[in-house]
Amino acid sequence: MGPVDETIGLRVENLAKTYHGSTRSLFDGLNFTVARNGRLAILGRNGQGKSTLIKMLGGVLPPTQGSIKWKMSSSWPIGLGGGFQGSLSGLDNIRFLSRIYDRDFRDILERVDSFAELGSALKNPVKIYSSGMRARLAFGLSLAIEFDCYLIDELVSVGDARFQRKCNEELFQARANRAFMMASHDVHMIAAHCDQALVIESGKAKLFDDVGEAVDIYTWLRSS
Amino acid sequence: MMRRLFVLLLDTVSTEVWSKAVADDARSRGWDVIEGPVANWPKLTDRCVVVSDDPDWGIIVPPVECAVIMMTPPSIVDGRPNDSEAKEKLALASARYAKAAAMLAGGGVRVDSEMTSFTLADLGNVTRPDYTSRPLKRSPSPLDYFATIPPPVGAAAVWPAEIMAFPKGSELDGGKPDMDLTGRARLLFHGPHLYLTPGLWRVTFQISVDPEGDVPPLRFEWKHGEDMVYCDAPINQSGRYEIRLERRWEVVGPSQITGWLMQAIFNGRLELHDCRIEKLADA
Repeated sequence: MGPVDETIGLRVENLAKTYHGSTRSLFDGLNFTVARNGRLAILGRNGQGKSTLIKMLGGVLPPTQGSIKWKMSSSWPIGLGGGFQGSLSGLDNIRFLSRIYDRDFRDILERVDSFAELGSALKNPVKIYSSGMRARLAFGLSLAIEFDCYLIDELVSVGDARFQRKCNEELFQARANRAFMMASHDVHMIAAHCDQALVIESGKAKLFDDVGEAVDIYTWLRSS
Repeated sequence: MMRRLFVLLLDTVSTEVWSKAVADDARSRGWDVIEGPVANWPKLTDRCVVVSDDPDWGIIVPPVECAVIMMTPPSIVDGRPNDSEAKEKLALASARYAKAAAMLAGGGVRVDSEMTSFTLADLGNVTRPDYTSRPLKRSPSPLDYFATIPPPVGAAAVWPAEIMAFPKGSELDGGKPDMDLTGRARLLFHGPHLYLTPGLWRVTFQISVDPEGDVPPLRFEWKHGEDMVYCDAPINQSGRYEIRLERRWEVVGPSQITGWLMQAIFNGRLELHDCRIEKLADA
């Protein structure tokens, strides 16, 4: 057994995913590592498996094959879909997650409200929230709980410019030493903030240390 | 009477012996002797012999004063150089042969390694001492098209894939002939920068391509500097393909084959195989 690399926060080995009933793998043989402060972009056209990979990394979906080994805490997949209990209010969802993660409810609530700016809407059931409101709540909660690694699925593309600016400030500046994995179509943001990129296309996934090169390929794939 | 003689030394087993014989003979007749690379030459005197293996002198010396070639077949040059130093050495040798061809075409005196003496105008008869020859390495050479100088129509050689340069990352060489096409639009290979003489030259080479479901937009060029012929080859089926390009060299100059990926691509593999060059017609 070789020495353990303490700088590695996530190790993905031989990962494959095929949905039940499908004959086509979304991807297979996927191997990569992410450093404890690594910033991985996940690029791919619609339907290629970006969100699936994020969900697998977040433990929401099981892999068909392979392993995902975390050496750091990771957020749940933050994206448009939310991940909340829809019949509960925003407040109750915050209370529930505070218990799960053993955090002080008051502290978490204050931080979420400061970020998400949902105000009295927190008393309403999450199922009536707009997608933007759900995203703000999800992102605010994940920031309040403070993970080592954030799993983000197009989150920062929702909301107005002010919300996007806040996301950028909180994630890229205030938490500059954290890791994140981000599925996004926004190549400018990816080029600016990521140091590696995984491109998923037609069942294959390839990792690029040169993000600019990955963006070139992805741009070509989108246009072809 | 002013007289200058320029002796171009080629890669030959008798180079050293002939070089010394010519220099000694010139000195004994009161001529100045200048040796070494062009950059080190002093001001040329009226009666001097210049003995050098630096091919650059062919450009700056008036042809009327050009002189003597010492040559053996180019097959003594190793056939499959695969490091940058060997590639550079090969390109330099090709420059010497190409300049020698130009000199011979202009009336220069040819001296083969087997000869024991020859006569130079004004300087007179030069005789070399005996020497112990080492066996020539008779293997195919990328410079085989110089087996006869100047290269006649039909002169040909195989340029092994390894003598090309294969960019790797930000470096212009270091990759291999078998490559993953995945990546941005880029130069895939280039070289070998071997000199050709005036005339119509054809290069034929084969590539194995596995597009892996993509359609790599490839371009291949055959060129001297920026002047080129090229063909575009968007390949969508796995297989071995032959590329044939013809270009007329108007002056002696280095030749280059380049392969480009014209667009970023996610899939695909390419392997470059050996190239064959052939002279189709004189200038």
